[in-house]
Amino acid sequence: MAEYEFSEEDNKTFDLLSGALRRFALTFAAFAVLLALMGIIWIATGMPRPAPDSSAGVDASWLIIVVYVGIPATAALAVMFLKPLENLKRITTTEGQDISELLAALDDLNQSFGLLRIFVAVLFIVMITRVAMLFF
Amino acid sequence: MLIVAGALLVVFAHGGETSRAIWYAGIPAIAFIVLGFVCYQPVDNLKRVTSTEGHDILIMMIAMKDLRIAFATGQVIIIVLIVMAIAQISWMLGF
Repeated sequence: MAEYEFSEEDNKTFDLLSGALRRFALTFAAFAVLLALMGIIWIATGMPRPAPDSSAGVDASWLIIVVYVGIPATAALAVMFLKPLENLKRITTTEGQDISELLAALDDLNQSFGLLRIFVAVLFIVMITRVAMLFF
Repeated sequence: MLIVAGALLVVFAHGGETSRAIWYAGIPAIAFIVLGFVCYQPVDNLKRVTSTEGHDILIMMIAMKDLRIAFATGQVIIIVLIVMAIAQISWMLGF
């Protein structure tokens, strides 16, 4: 049975989505590089100077969390969000398997958002701990 | 989850009571809440693909457009975080 074929207008939507997704993933990659740079500077210069208002809760431990959770998480997310691009591209460049390609892209996107969910959950736990520390 | 995480960051920023705490927690808080709302739109449409009949492709295309907006918003938010990371690096280097 022949598969549904997306129209030219639909293909434009997929092209725009691919572009947005590519830019999003590459920006994530740039952020991961910056966090890695921050980590290198931190290791090279020792513990960062305590903030003048360290009671504000912005201190070395916050930076440690950002660097050690942030670097692997952002790097992994950048790679994961690049994965659906190939299938999205094939929707517009090939014929006869548009729905299969779309489902494969959605499956990859689901995995990427699954990883993002784990990252947000970790951040969530860290923040609950920090907020609890502010009040208790 | 993003919206709740953003709300928690608001509490965190408020607890800090200084401009630095507001900078580090307040801005990501707003970013998380905005991203949470933007991501909710395609989710709603994707849900409708499975729960309704007869307009699956049309609803799917609307979801794809919403997803594009979500990624574009996400990119802006990450750029804001990049600016904050650059500010942090400058602070660490003593500039």
